[in-house]
Amino acid sequence: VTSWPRRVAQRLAAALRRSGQDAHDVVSAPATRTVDLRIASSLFDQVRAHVEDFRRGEEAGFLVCSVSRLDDRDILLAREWHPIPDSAIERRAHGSVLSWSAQFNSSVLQRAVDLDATPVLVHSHGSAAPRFSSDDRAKERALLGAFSRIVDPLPTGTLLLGRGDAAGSFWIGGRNDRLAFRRLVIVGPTIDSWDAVSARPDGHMPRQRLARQTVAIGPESDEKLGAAVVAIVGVSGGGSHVFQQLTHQGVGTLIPIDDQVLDETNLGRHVGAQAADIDQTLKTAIAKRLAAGVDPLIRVSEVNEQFPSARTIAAMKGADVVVACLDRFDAREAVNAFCRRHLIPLVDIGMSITSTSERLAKADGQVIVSLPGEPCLRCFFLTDALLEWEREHRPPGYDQNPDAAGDPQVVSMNGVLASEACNCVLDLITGYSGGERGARQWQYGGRSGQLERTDLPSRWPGCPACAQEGHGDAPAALG
Amino acid sequence: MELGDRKMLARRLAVAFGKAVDVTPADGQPAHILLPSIRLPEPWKPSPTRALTVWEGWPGIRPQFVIDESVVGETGEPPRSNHQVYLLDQSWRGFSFNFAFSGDDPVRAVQLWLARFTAERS
Repeated sequence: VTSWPRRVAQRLAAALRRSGQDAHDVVSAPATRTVDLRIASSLFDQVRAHVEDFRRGEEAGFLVCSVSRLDDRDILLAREWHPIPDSAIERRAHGSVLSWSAQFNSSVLQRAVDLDATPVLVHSHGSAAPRFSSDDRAKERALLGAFSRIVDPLPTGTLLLGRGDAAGSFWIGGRNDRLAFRRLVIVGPTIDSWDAVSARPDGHMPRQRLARQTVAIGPESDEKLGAAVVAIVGVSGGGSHVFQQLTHQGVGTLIPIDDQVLDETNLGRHVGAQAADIDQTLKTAIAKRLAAGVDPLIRVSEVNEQFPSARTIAAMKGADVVVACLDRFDAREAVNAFCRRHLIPLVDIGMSITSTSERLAKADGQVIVSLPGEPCLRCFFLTDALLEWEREHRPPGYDQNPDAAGDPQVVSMNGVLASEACNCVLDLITGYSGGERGARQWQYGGRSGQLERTDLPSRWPGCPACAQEGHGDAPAALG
Repeated sequence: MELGDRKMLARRLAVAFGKAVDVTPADGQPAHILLPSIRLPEPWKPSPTRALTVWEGWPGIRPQFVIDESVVGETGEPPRSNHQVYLLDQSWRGFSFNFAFSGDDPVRAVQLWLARFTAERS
């Protein structure tokens, strides 16, 4: 790999000075962290169309990825796909090995550095249970050892696609023995997991308590739900319903997020709450108690803080799905922006009731499913005008004012929205609808009882949330 | 905001506040300028601290101004009327603070935001 652009070359020189070892030093040590790669299904379709087209021989390309760093793993978030063009490929120059120009490597690397991101090489052999060939390994050593020093401290690597499975080899700081590839997660109307051949989960024991549901939605649903992680932001009027149903549906790990203690007015709509909880019990503790009552094996990682505290951000990064059950539009905007940055599907529910002359005038609610690559809430629902209206009429802290009138609420109407939201989560995880649902909205009229599904409007080209799609963790400049 | 305008904005803020870094997430988005070491009036600590400014609608609209969450007054409490803001995957502290502003001087706009800390001396 020659003729590095100046900024890339400076990074490489600095990395080599820091480490004091060359790119081939490898010390045996067990991998301590794992790597997932998360990609929107629309982008993944482009990747497959290229690398699974063998008409001219093997093909390859680079994903430019940002990183979402958790305690125990790095999640690479695919942002851009750079297929190696035929003009850059030197076919049969080195036997059966696919070769391409150093200039193409340099341009991809430069793009990654410019985005504070990292390149991942992708190709396919067109078969299941994929294994890297010795040629693949030789290419990897030559290329990724150098790449990993330039993008340090970000990982870089190579991914070999199979048929519903994948192999990966990831490097950091010139070494490839510290990171173990775990899975490729394709985020679309259904969340598809292509597990690493070496990291396939052990056999799952079917849960008798889910027997009727499994008959309804398919034999694989139990295992998929058991492996799923769902964060629920706000576990009060709507969120407590959602939390309860997800426990019954068999979601393996739940992350309830809420900083409030139950008050007396919550008792009229908070599922799982008891009179003794008033002014005593955190809403997340009520959720945890409820889950333990259904199945003590459900993992509940409660966070007693308000989004976007650092703890809530850290907890939500590992979620497969986020469900937002929040009253304030600015809070919903923040959760929406977070989900875009981390390529996490968002299911948002909201209910608005107005009363006049002591009668219910309007009861409008909606469930919106927002997926990476599709319109987000900020594109069409959380508009500038709506957010400005809230800033003027309900500024932050408005709901903390003891003299403020509480919003009208009806537990059974919340329940309708929450049930549909749980159908959305169930479909994202298991794909039970066969693709009939996806990114859409369901509008509910509490007076008429009508629930109507509509397509989402187009994306907003200037959307500030979509502009940060897949950016992951905060830029390094922020510290 | 175009790249050239962002650079000019960052340069002017750097001259006044020591350092300014353009952290705008994408072209075509409002300028996000980080002030990594901005001095706060006594008794607010830590000072210097970091602040983030977002220039949406500039110069017609005043910039958004948020500071590091660790900033507290003498009693250990954050400034009044504060709220958490999610920007660039971090939690920041924003405030409600009314001030009259007109003109196109970005340094003056940030100085007016800082007056908020003088107005409330914990």
